[in-house]
Amino acid sequence: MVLADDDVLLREGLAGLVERSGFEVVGQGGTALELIALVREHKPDLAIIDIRMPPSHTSEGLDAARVIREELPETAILVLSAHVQVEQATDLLASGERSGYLLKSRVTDVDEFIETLQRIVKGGSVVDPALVHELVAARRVEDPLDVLSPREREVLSLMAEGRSNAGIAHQLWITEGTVEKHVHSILTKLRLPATEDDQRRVLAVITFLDAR
Amino acid sequence: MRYESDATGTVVAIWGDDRLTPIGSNWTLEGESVLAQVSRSGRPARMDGYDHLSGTIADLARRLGRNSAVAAPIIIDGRLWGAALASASDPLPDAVEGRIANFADLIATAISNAETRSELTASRARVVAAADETRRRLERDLHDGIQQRLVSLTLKARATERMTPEPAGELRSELALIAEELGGTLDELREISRGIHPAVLSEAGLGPALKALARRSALPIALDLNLDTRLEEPHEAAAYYAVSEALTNAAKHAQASAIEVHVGDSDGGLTLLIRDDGIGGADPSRGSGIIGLKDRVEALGGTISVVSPPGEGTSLHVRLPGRPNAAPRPEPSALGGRDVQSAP
Repeated sequence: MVLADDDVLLREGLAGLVERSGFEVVGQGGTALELIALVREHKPDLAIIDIRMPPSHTSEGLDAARVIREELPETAILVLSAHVQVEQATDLLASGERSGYLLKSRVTDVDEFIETLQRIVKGGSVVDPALVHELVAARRVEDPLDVLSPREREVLSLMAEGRSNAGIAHQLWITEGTVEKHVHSILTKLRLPATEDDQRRVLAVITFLDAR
Repeated sequence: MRYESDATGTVVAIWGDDRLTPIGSNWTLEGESVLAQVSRSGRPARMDGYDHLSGTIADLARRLGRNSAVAAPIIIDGRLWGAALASASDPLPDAVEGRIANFADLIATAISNAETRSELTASRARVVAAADETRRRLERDLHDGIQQRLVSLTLKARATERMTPEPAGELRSELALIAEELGGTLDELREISRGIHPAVLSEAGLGPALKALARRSALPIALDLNLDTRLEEPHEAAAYYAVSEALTNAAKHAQASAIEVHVGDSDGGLTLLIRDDGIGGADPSRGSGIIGLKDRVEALGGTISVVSPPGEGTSLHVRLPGRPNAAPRPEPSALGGRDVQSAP
């Protein structure tokens, strides 16, 4: 993988962490340009990108992710952000599969973080649970989510985080068949299209939650 | 007449025949005239008969058939701003000098008030902008500085935890505890920096910022957003804090069960309406939040009103004008509404 963050200490810490967990870090950079050069050179499976980098410290990481997506769409991309914004998440997810959008502080929960990296590399899409929680917990007048049962809400949240049906089953201690029933019911109630594609499912759910 | 820095004067108001001296016309002050005398001496002047005098104003007096003129200085804060002039074909009575001097004093007061008002508006806008800039900087420092440090530290604690051999189980769990506590601190830090300045506002604009705000509203919300473009930063901040304040008040004091927020922009301007279905009867003069908002909104030349009849809910209405840098113009004054802000 390739790592990009302008904070050297943090980058080194993160590199140490993923290497101890079996990943190989082939390059590290502190700017979007360095990152893109490294990705072109090494064609890594995964790029972990800090969203705020020099010069303007706003969303350079997201711009770099877009460039990588166009040139090397097979690269899995995890964007780390100091705070979560739904627009950034949907931007990234819309750019292709193998996308992850997480709060930077998630790297400190090592096991969970490594598991997330593996999911992204295997083709999954990941959205930060804090963002999903905010989207699901939002209170609306005439809320379309009112038609869901509490269990269905839980399943919906996990779908929005990018969990597969098997992942949801594991998380909620229920069978995958039960999860499938819940998913079907949720999609019907919310009039969302059924799709086998992880990334499309996540994007559809996040977009729905944001627009309601 | 307003005296300009280039030894000319501009007609800013007139009563009587204005065909030769319309408002806005500019006259050179060379030669001899009461206006030239006042501009040099700063004192009242009188002249009877222009027959043998030279200069454009003397020519003008002759063409208008004015033989007698009295002028008095308009002095604002000790500086000569301009002059008030009365002229006639017959010699003006002596009493006119005193009257025109009094009138010049009145004009001076009116202009001074208008200038003070526009300076106040500008300084309010500066105070608000400075406070906002401080908030933005603090937010950046928290995210890019302290948060990064804390994440690094937590990673270090995690790495040390993993390096600690199994027999030292207690040490390992202490290290894990430290890492968890640091994680909690990171969450708190994120909340605090959002309270200081919502980064989404400067990064993504008013629409996404209001949506994020609405998602955290304690009351069910109906959000009606009609925003086509990014607005000027102070406009976006004013609108954001207005909605934020209204949501807080509705949740805290209004005993409301729902709230609706309408936001629309046109020509760079903005209209906001936030209405709850609570108990009403709010007294806006007692809320420091509303007073702060008034400062923001009025500094942008906008208006803000709170309507809160008992039992009928509370609504907050904000209008921000289209031209981003437009300060409110002074009330039409004795100067006939002529722009006096550009006075030297």
